[in-house]
Amino acid sequence: MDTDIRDEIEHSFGDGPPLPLDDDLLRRAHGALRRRRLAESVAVMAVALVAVTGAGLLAGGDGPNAEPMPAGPPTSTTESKDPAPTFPPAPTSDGDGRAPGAPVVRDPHLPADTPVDAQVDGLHVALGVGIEELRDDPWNVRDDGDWSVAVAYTAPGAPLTWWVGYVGADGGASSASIAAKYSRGLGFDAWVAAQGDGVRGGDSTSEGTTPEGGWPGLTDVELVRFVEGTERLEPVPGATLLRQREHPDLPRSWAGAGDRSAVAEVELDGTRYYVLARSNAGERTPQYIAVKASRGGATLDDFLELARERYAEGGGGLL
Amino acid sequence: MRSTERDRAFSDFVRARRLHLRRVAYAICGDWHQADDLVQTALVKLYVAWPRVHRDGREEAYVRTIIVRADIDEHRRPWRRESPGLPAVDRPAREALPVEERSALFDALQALPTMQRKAAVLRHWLGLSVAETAHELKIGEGTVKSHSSRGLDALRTALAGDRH
Repeated sequence: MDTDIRDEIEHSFGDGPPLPLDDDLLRRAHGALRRRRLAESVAVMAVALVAVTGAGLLAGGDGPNAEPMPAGPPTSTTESKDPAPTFPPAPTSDGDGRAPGAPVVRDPHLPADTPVDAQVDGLHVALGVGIEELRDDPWNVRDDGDWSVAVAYTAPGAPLTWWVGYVGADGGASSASIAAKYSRGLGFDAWVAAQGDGVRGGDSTSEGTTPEGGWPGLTDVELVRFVEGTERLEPVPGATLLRQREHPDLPRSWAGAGDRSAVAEVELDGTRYYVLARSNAGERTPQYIAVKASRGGATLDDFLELARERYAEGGGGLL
Repeated sequence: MRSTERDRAFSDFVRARRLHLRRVAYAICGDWHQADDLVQTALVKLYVAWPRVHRDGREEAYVRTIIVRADIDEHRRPWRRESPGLPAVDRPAREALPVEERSALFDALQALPTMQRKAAVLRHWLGLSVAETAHELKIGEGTVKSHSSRGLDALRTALAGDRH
Protein backbone atom coordinates (compact mmCIF):
# COMPACT_ATOMS: atom_id res chain seq x y z
CA MET A 1 0.00 0.00 0.00
CA ASP A 2 2.83 2.40 0.83
CA THR A 3 4.21 2.05 -2.67
CA ASP A 4 0.77 2.73 -4.06
CA ILE A 5 0.35 5.76 -1.87
CA ARG A 6 3.78 7.01 -2.90
CA ASP A 7 2.86 6.81 -6.56
CA GLU A 8 -0.55 8.29 -5.94
CA ILE A 9 0.93 11.27 -4.12
CA GLU A 10 3.62 11.64 -6.75
CA HIS A 11 0.97 11.95 -9.44
CA SER A 12 -1.58 13.87 -7.40
CA PHE A 13 -0.24 17.25 -8.50
CA GLY A 14 1.78 18.69 -11.31
CA ASP A 15 4.94 20.77 -11.56
CA GLY A 16 3.11 24.02 -11.05
CA PRO A 17 3.60 27.25 -12.95
CA PRO A 18 6.91 27.71 -14.76
CA LEU A 19 9.83 27.98 -12.40
CA PRO A 20 10.56 31.70 -12.03
CA LEU A 21 13.87 32.97 -13.32
CA ASP A 22 16.16 33.37 -10.37
CA ASP A 23 19.26 35.20 -11.43
CA ASP A 24 19.34 36.62 -7.92
CA LEU A 25 19.93 33.36 -6.12
CA LEU A 26 23.72 33.36 -6.24
CA ARG A 27 23.89 37.06 -5.41
CA ARG A 28 21.68 36.51 -2.38
CA ALA A 29 23.73 33.49 -1.40
CA HIS A 30 26.97 35.47 -1.64
CA GLY A 31 25.49 38.23 0.51
CA ALA A 32 24.30 35.74 3.12
CA LEU A 33 27.74 34.16 3.27
CA ARG A 34 29.45 37.51 3.73
CA ARG A 35 27.09 38.53 6.49
CA ARG A 36 27.51 35.24 8.26
CA ARG A 37 31.28 35.45 8.15
CA LEU A 38 31.37 39.03 9.30
CA ALA A 39 28.87 38.28 12.07
CA GLU A 40 31.10 35.47 13.24
CA SER A 41 34.14 37.69 13.33
CA VAL A 42 32.20 40.29 15.29
CA ALA A 43 31.09 37.57 17.69
CA VAL A 44 34.72 36.74 18.35
CA MET A 45 35.40 40.40 18.98
CA ALA A 46 32.50 40.59 21.41
CA VAL A 47 33.97 37.75 23.43
CA ALA A 48 37.29 39.56 23.56
CA LEU A 49 35.55 42.74 24.61
CA VAL A 50 33.95 41.01 27.58
CA ALA A 51 37.38 39.83 28.63
CA VAL A 52 39.06 43.20 28.36
CA THR A 53 36.18 45.06 29.93
CA GLY A 54 36.34 42.65 32.84
CA ALA A 55 40.03 43.42 33.19
CA GLY A 56 39.24 47.12 33.23
CA LEU A 57 36.70 46.67 36.00
CA LEU A 58 39.16 44.70 38.08
CA ALA A 59 41.59 47.56 37.67
CA GLY A 60 39.01 49.97 38.98
CA GLY A 61 38.40 51.62 35.65
CA ASP A 62 34.65 51.78 35.95
CA GLY A 63 34.13 55.50 36.16
CA PRO A 64 31.96 57.28 33.65
CA ASN A 65 34.96 58.52 31.71
CA ALA A 66 36.99 55.32 31.92
CA GLU A 67 38.23 54.09 28.59
CA PRO A 68 36.72 50.67 27.94
CA MET A 69 40.06 49.11 27.12
CA PRO A 70 42.65 47.41 29.29
CA ALA A 71 45.72 49.28 30.43
CA GLY A 72 47.93 46.37 29.46
CA PRO A 73 48.24 44.47 26.22
CA PRO A 74 45.00 43.12 24.81
CA THR A 75 44.10 39.48 25.02
CA SER A 76 44.70 37.04 22.21
CA THR A 77 42.18 38.77 20.00
CA THR A 78 43.27 42.29 19.30
CA GLU A 79 40.07 43.68 17.94
CA SER A 80 37.50 45.47 19.98
CA LYS A 81 33.93 46.14 19.10
CA ASP A 82 33.93 49.30 21.16
CA PRO A 83 33.69 52.02 20.08
CA ALA A 84 31.63 50.90 17.11
CA PRO A 85 29.94 53.45 14.92
CA THR A 86 26.48 52.57 13.82
CA PHE A 87 25.93 51.70 10.20
CA PRO A 88 22.26 51.83 9.44
CA PRO A 89 20.85 52.63 6.03
CA ALA A 90 20.17 56.32 6.09
CA PRO A 91 16.62 57.58 5.82
CA THR A 92 15.77 58.45 2.28
CA SER A 93 12.92 60.80 2.82
CA ASP A 94 13.83 63.00 5.75
CA GLY A 95 14.55 65.94 3.58
CA ASP A 96 18.01 66.67 4.93
CA GLY A 97 19.71 66.12 1.61
CA ARG A 98 21.26 62.75 2.38
CA ALA A 99 22.01 60.52 -0.52
CA PRO A 100 19.51 57.63 -0.56
CA GLY A 101 20.92 54.48 0.93
CA ALA A 102 24.12 56.04 2.23
CA PRO A 103 25.18 54.99 5.72
CA VAL A 104 25.77 57.12 8.76
CA VAL A 105 28.89 56.93 10.85
CA ARG A 106 28.23 57.81 14.44
CA ASP A 107 30.30 57.25 17.49
CA PRO A 108 28.38 55.28 20.12
CA HIS A 109 29.63 57.60 22.82
CA LEU A 110 27.64 60.41 21.24
CA PRO A 111 23.91 60.76 21.89
CA ALA A 112 21.86 58.89 19.32
CA ASP A 113 20.17 62.08 18.22
CA THR A 114 23.43 63.85 17.44
CA PRO A 115 22.77 65.55 14.14
CA VAL A 116 24.58 64.63 10.98
CA ASP A 117 27.26 67.23 10.46
CA ALA A 118 28.83 66.54 7.12
CA GLN A 119 28.74 64.29 4.15
CA VAL A 120 32.07 62.78 3.19
CA ASP A 121 32.24 60.68 0.06
CA GLY A 122 28.87 59.05 0.57
CA LEU A 123 29.18 58.76 4.33
CA HIS A 124 27.11 60.89 6.64
CA VAL A 125 29.30 61.81 9.53
CA ALA A 126 27.92 62.57 12.95
CA LEU A 127 28.82 65.80 14.67
CA GLY A 128 32.14 65.49 16.45
CA VAL A 129 33.42 62.60 14.37
CA GLY A 130 36.48 63.37 12.31
CA ILE A 131 37.31 61.20 9.32
CA GLU A 132 41.08 60.73 9.09
CA GLU A 133 41.14 58.21 6.25
CA LEU A 134 38.52 56.69 4.01
CA ARG A 135 38.59 53.72 1.64
CA ASP A 136 35.74 53.31 -0.79
CA ASP A 137 34.76 49.66 -1.37
CA PRO A 138 38.05 48.17 -0.15
CA TRP A 139 36.64 44.64 -0.46
CA ASN A 140 35.66 45.14 -4.10
CA VAL A 141 32.12 43.91 -3.67
CA ARG A 142 30.44 46.64 -5.70
CA ASP A 143 30.26 44.35 -8.73
CA ASP A 144 27.92 42.12 -6.75
CA GLY A 145 25.65 45.08 -6.02
CA ASP A 146 26.99 45.40 -2.45
CA TRP A 147 29.20 48.07 -0.94
CA SER A 148 31.98 48.20 1.60
CA VAL A 149 33.61 51.24 3.13
CA ALA A 150 36.32 51.73 5.70
CA VAL A 151 37.24 54.77 7.75
CA ALA A 152 39.77 55.76 10.34
CA TYR A 153 38.04 58.25 12.57
CA THR A 154 38.36 60.20 15.75
CA ALA A 155 35.63 61.26 18.14
CA PRO A 156 35.66 63.20 21.40
CA GLY A 157 36.80 60.95 24.22
CA ALA A 158 37.53 58.00 21.96
CA PRO A 159 40.84 56.75 20.59
CA LEU A 160 41.62 56.72 16.89
CA THR A 161 39.37 53.98 15.59
CA TRP A 162 39.37 51.91 12.43
CA TRP A 163 36.03 50.81 11.18
CA VAL A 164 34.85 48.84 8.16
CA GLY A 165 31.26 48.29 7.11
CA TYR A 166 29.44 46.28 4.52
CA VAL A 167 26.00 46.84 3.04
CA GLY A 168 24.38 44.10 1.02
CA ALA A 169 22.23 44.85 -1.98
CA ASP A 170 19.32 43.35 -0.05
CA GLY A 171 19.76 45.92 2.74
CA GLY A 172 21.63 43.75 5.24
CA ALA A 173 24.57 45.48 6.92
CA SER A 174 27.41 44.56 9.23
CA SER A 175 30.44 46.32 10.59
CA ALA A 176 33.60 45.71 12.58
CA SER A 177 35.95 48.10 14.33
CA ILE A 178 39.07 48.26 16.40
CA ALA A 179 40.91 50.89 18.38
CA ALA A 180 43.91 51.46 16.15
CA LYS A 181 46.36 51.11 19.02
CA TYR A 182 45.38 47.46 19.39
CA SER A 183 46.09 46.52 15.82
CA ARG A 184 49.28 44.61 16.70
CA GLY A 185 51.34 46.47 14.17
CA LEU A 186 48.95 46.08 11.26
CA GLY A 187 48.45 49.20 9.17
CA PHE A 188 44.99 50.52 8.46
CA ASP A 189 44.77 49.02 4.97
CA ALA A 190 46.12 45.66 6.11
CA TRP A 191 43.57 45.51 8.91
CA VAL A 192 40.73 46.39 6.54
CA ALA A 193 41.91 43.73 4.10
CA ALA A 194 42.15 41.16 6.89
CA GLN A 195 38.52 41.71 7.85
CA GLY A 196 37.53 41.33 4.23
CA ASP A 197 39.36 38.06 3.80
CA GLY A 198 36.82 36.44 6.00
CA VAL A 199 33.94 38.11 4.25
CA ARG A 200 34.89 38.48 0.64
CA GLY A 201 36.04 35.06 -0.50
CA GLY A 202 33.26 32.90 -1.82
CA ASP A 203 35.49 29.85 -1.57
CA SER A 204 35.62 27.84 1.61
CA THR A 205 39.34 27.38 1.20
CA SER A 206 40.14 31.07 1.27
CA GLU A 207 42.67 32.01 3.90
CA GLY A 208 42.74 34.99 6.20
CA THR A 209 45.78 37.22 6.32
CA THR A 210 46.31 36.88 10.04
CA PRO A 211 45.84 33.95 12.40
CA GLU A 212 43.17 35.96 14.16
CA GLY A 213 41.26 36.91 11.05
CA GLY A 214 39.73 34.99 8.22
CA TRP A 215 39.03 31.30 8.01
CA PRO A 216 42.36 29.56 7.57
CA GLY A 217 41.05 26.02 7.23
CA LEU A 218 41.70 24.06 4.06
CA THR A 219 39.71 21.05 2.98
CA ASP A 220 41.45 20.31 -0.28
CA VAL A 221 44.81 19.30 1.20
CA GLU A 222 44.87 15.61 1.99
CA LEU A 223 47.42 14.85 4.69
CA VAL A 224 46.18 12.20 7.12
CA ARG A 225 43.33 9.82 7.69
CA PHE A 226 41.97 7.93 10.66
CA VAL A 227 43.17 4.42 11.32
CA GLU A 228 39.89 2.54 11.08
CA GLY A 229 37.96 2.48 14.32
CA THR A 230 40.56 4.46 16.28
CA GLU A 231 41.42 8.05 17.05
CA ARG A 232 44.90 7.60 15.64
CA LEU A 233 45.89 9.24 12.39
CA GLU A 234 48.18 7.92 9.70
CA PRO A 235 49.79 10.04 6.99
CA VAL A 236 48.81 9.72 3.38
CA PRO A 237 51.62 8.70 1.01
CA GLY A 238 54.11 11.53 0.67
CA ALA A 239 53.18 13.23 3.94
CA THR A 240 55.19 13.00 7.14
CA LEU A 241 53.36 12.80 10.43
CA LEU A 242 55.40 14.80 12.92
CA ARG A 243 53.20 14.43 15.99
CA GLN A 244 49.61 13.78 16.90
CA ARG A 245 47.23 13.71 19.83
CA GLU A 246 44.11 11.65 20.19
CA HIS A 247 40.88 13.33 21.26
CA PRO A 248 42.30 16.78 22.03
CA ASP A 249 40.51 18.95 24.54
CA LEU A 250 38.28 21.05 22.28
CA PRO A 251 34.76 22.44 22.70
CA ARG A 252 31.81 20.17 22.04
CA SER A 253 30.95 22.04 18.87
CA TRP A 254 34.00 20.36 17.39
CA ALA A 255 33.53 16.87 18.80
CA GLY A 256 31.67 15.27 21.67
CA ALA A 257 32.65 12.39 23.90
CA GLY A 258 31.18 9.85 21.48
CA ASP A 259 32.96 11.24 18.42
CA ARG A 260 36.40 10.35 17.15
CA SER A 261 38.74 13.31 17.12
CA ALA A 262 42.46 13.92 16.68
CA VAL A 263 44.93 16.65 15.88
CA ALA A 264 48.22 16.27 14.07
CA GLU A 265 51.21 18.20 12.83
CA VAL A 266 52.15 17.09 9.34
CA GLU A 267 54.69 18.04 6.71
CA LEU A 268 54.08 17.78 2.99
CA ASP A 269 56.40 19.04 0.27
CA GLY A 270 58.29 21.23 2.71
CA THR A 271 55.19 22.87 4.13
CA ARG A 272 54.11 22.26 7.70
CA TYR A 273 50.41 21.92 8.50
CA TYR A 274 48.18 21.26 11.45
CA VAL A 275 45.20 19.01 10.87
CA LEU A 276 42.05 18.70 12.92
CA ALA A 277 40.22 15.46 12.27
CA ARG A 278 36.86 14.28 13.48
CA SER A 279 34.41 11.56 12.77
CA ASN A 280 31.11 12.36 14.35
CA ALA A 281 28.98 9.49 15.49
CA GLY A 282 26.40 8.73 12.84
CA GLU A 283 28.17 10.55 10.02
CA ARG A 284 29.57 8.54 7.22
CA THR A 285 32.78 10.39 6.41
CA PRO A 286 35.42 11.92 8.65
CA GLN A 287 36.32 15.57 8.27
CA TYR A 288 39.88 16.75 7.97
CA ILE A 289 40.67 20.46 8.24
CA ALA A 290 44.23 21.48 7.46
CA VAL A 291 45.73 24.81 8.48
CA LYS A 292 49.15 25.92 7.34
CA ALA A 293 51.49 26.31 10.29
CA SER A 294 52.18 29.83 9.13
CA ARG A 295 48.56 30.58 9.97
CA GLY A 296 47.90 28.18 12.81
CA GLY A 297 50.68 29.13 15.24
CA ALA A 298 54.24 28.19 16.07
CA THR A 299 53.46 24.95 17.88
CA LEU A 300 50.76 22.33 18.05
CA ASP A 301 49.71 23.81 21.40
CA ASP A 302 49.34 27.23 19.78
CA PHE A 303 47.17 25.71 17.09
CA LEU A 304 45.01 23.94 19.66
CA GLU A 305 44.56 27.26 21.45
CA LEU A 306 43.38 28.79 18.17
CA ALA A 307 41.05 25.84 17.60
CA ARG A 308 39.61 26.21 21.10
CA GLU A 309 38.80 29.84 20.39
CA ARG A 310 37.31 29.05 17.01
CA TYR A 311 35.08 26.24 18.26
CA ALA A 312 33.95 28.06 21.39
CA GLU A 313 30.46 29.52 21.26
CA GLY A 314 30.44 32.17 18.55
CA GLY A 315 34.01 31.44 17.55
CA GLY A 316 33.22 30.94 13.88
CA GLY A 317 35.15 27.72 13.27
CA LEU A 318 38.13 27.28 10.97
CA LEU A 319 36.20 27.01 7.69
CA MET B 1 29.98 37.67 -10.41
CA ARG B 2 32.92 35.67 -9.19
CA SER B 3 32.89 32.09 -10.37
CA THR B 4 34.22 29.70 -7.79
CA GLU B 5 34.16 25.97 -7.37
CA ARG B 6 31.52 26.44 -4.71
CA ASP B 7 29.36 28.44 -7.09
CA ARG B 8 29.66 25.85 -9.81
CA ALA B 9 28.87 22.89 -7.58
CA PHE B 10 26.02 24.75 -5.92
CA SER B 11 24.55 25.81 -9.27
CA ASP B 12 24.77 22.25 -10.54
CA PHE B 13 22.86 21.05 -7.52
CA VAL B 14 20.23 23.75 -7.92
CA ARG B 15 19.71 22.90 -11.57
CA ALA B 16 19.38 19.21 -10.84
CA ARG B 17 17.16 19.25 -7.77
CA ARG B 18 15.27 22.51 -7.59
CA LEU B 19 12.19 21.26 -9.37
CA HIS B 20 11.87 18.31 -7.02
CA LEU B 21 12.47 20.43 -3.95
CA ARG B 22 9.89 22.89 -5.18
CA ARG B 23 7.34 20.09 -5.40
CA VAL B 24 8.21 18.99 -1.87
CA ALA B 25 7.67 22.53 -0.65
CA TYR B 26 4.40 22.74 -2.53
CA ALA B 27 3.19 19.49 -1.03
CA ILE B 28 3.96 20.94 2.40
CA CYS B 29 2.50 24.42 1.96
CA GLY B 30 0.04 24.11 -0.93
CA ASP B 31 1.01 27.37 -2.59
CA TRP B 32 3.49 27.75 -5.42
CA HIS B 33 4.62 31.23 -4.45
CA GLN B 34 5.21 30.22 -0.89
CA ALA B 35 6.94 27.08 -2.14
CA ASP B 36 9.30 29.17 -4.26
CA ASP B 37 10.04 31.40 -1.26
CA LEU B 38 10.71 28.40 0.95
CA VAL B 39 13.03 26.81 -1.57
CA GLN B 40 14.94 29.99 -2.23
CA THR B 41 15.44 30.62 1.47
CA ALA B 42 16.59 27.06 1.99
CA LEU B 43 18.98 27.24 -0.97
CA VAL B 44 20.59 30.43 0.33
CA LYS B 45 21.15 28.69 3.68
CA LEU B 46 22.54 25.70 1.84
CA TYR B 47 25.08 27.91 0.06
CA VAL B 48 26.31 29.29 3.38
CA ALA B 49 26.71 25.78 4.79
CA TRP B 50 27.93 24.31 1.51
CA PRO B 51 31.43 23.00 2.45
CA ARG B 52 30.16 20.94 5.37
CA VAL B 53 26.94 19.76 3.75
CA HIS B 54 28.47 19.02 0.36
CA ARG B 55 31.30 17.09 1.95
CA ASP B 56 28.78 14.76 3.52
CA GLY B 57 26.59 14.53 0.44
CA ARG B 58 23.61 15.82 2.41
CA GLU B 59 22.63 18.73 0.17
CA GLU B 60 19.13 17.57 -0.59
CA ALA B 61 18.39 16.39 2.93
CA TYR B 62 19.65 19.72 4.27
CA VAL B 63 17.34 21.74 2.04
CA ARG B 64 14.42 19.42 2.63
CA THR B 65 14.87 19.68 6.39
CA ILE B 66 14.74 23.47 6.22
CA ILE B 67 11.61 23.28 4.10
CA VAL B 68 9.73 20.85 6.31
CA ARG B 69 10.75 22.63 9.50
CA ALA B 70 9.59 25.99 8.21
CA ASP B 71 6.72 27.52 10.09
CA ILE B 72 4.04 27.70 7.47
CA ASP B 73 1.46 30.36 7.98
CA GLU B 74 -1.71 28.29 7.84
CA HIS B 75 -3.83 31.36 7.42
CA ARG B 76 -2.12 32.12 4.12
CA ARG B 77 -2.57 28.67 2.68
CA PRO B 78 -5.10 28.71 -0.13
CA TRP B 79 -6.44 25.38 1.05
CA ARG B 80 -7.52 27.04 4.27
CA ARG B 81 -9.32 29.93 2.61
CA GLU B 82 -12.70 28.38 3.05
CA SER B 83 -14.61 31.43 4.12
CA PRO B 84 -16.83 32.73 1.34
CA GLY B 85 -16.64 36.17 2.92
CA LEU B 86 -13.04 36.81 1.95
CA PRO B 87 -12.66 39.91 -0.14
CA ALA B 88 -11.94 39.34 -3.79
CA VAL B 89 -8.70 41.28 -3.57
CA ASP B 90 -7.24 38.86 -1.07
CA ARG B 91 -3.76 37.94 -2.34
CA PRO B 92 -4.72 37.50 -5.97
CA ALA B 93 -1.17 36.51 -6.84
CA ARG B 94 -1.12 33.39 -4.70
CA GLU B 95 -1.31 30.38 -6.90
CA ALA B 96 -2.62 26.96 -6.15
CA LEU B 97 -3.05 24.49 -8.93
CA PRO B 98 -6.22 24.75 -10.96
CA VAL B 99 -8.69 22.19 -9.68
CA GLU B 100 -8.31 20.04 -12.77
CA GLU B 101 -4.56 19.72 -12.17
CA ARG B 102 -4.77 18.33 -8.69
CA SER B 103 -6.53 15.32 -7.27
CA ALA B 104 -8.78 14.59 -4.36
CA LEU B 105 -5.80 12.90 -2.79
CA PHE B 106 -3.79 16.10 -2.91
CA ASP B 107 -6.72 18.03 -1.50
CA ALA B 108 -6.89 15.50 1.30
CA LEU B 109 -3.17 15.86 1.91
CA GLN B 110 -3.56 19.62 2.17
CA ALA B 111 -6.49 19.25 4.51
CA LEU B 112 -4.41 17.33 7.04
CA PRO B 113 -3.13 19.12 10.13
CA THR B 114 0.36 20.50 9.56
CA MET B 115 2.40 17.82 11.29
CA GLN B 116 0.31 15.01 9.86
CA ARG B 117 0.81 16.49 6.42
CA LYS B 118 4.55 16.84 6.89
CA ALA B 119 4.83 13.33 8.27
CA ALA B 120 2.77 11.96 5.37
CA VAL B 121 4.93 13.75 2.82
CA LEU B 122 8.16 12.48 4.33
CA ARG B 123 7.02 8.95 5.15
CA HIS B 124 4.53 8.08 2.42
CA TRP B 125 5.76 10.12 -0.52
CA LEU B 126 9.50 10.54 -0.04
CA GLY B 127 9.89 7.17 1.66
CA LEU B 128 11.85 8.27 4.71
CA SER B 129 12.01 5.91 7.66
CA VAL B 130 10.28 6.66 10.93
CA ALA B 131 13.63 7.57 12.47
CA GLU B 132 14.56 9.84 9.56
CA THR B 133 11.17 11.51 9.66
CA ALA B 134 11.45 12.02 13.40
CA HIS B 135 14.83 13.65 12.92
CA GLU B 136 13.66 15.95 10.14
CA LEU B 137 10.60 17.07 12.05
CA LYS B 138 12.36 17.14 15.42
CA ILE B 139 9.65 15.03 17.02
CA GLY B 140 9.64 11.60 18.63
CA GLU B 141 9.35 8.42 16.62
CA GLY B 142 6.12 7.54 18.40
CA THR B 143 4.68 10.87 17.36
CA VAL B 144 5.75 10.25 13.79
CA LYS B 145 3.96 6.90 13.82
CA SER B 146 0.85 8.49 15.22
CA HIS B 147 0.85 11.37 12.73
CA SER B 148 1.63 9.23 9.72
CA SER B 149 -0.93 6.62 10.66
CA ARG B 150 -3.70 9.18 10.97
CA GLY B 151 -2.57 10.95 7.84
CA LEU B 152 -2.45 7.71 5.91
CA ASP B 153 -5.97 6.82 7.02
CA ALA B 154 -7.22 10.16 5.71
CA LEU B 155 -5.40 9.71 2.42
CA ARG B 156 -6.72 6.18 1.98
CA THR B 157 -10.23 7.44 2.60
CA ALA B 158 -9.74 10.13 -0.01
CA LEU B 159 -8.36 7.62 -2.47
CA ALA B 160 -11.26 5.28 -1.91
CA GLY B 161 -13.74 8.09 -2.41
CA ASP B 162 -11.98 9.23 -5.56
CA ARG B 163 -12.29 5.78 -7.09
CA HIS B 164 -15.99 5.38 -6.40
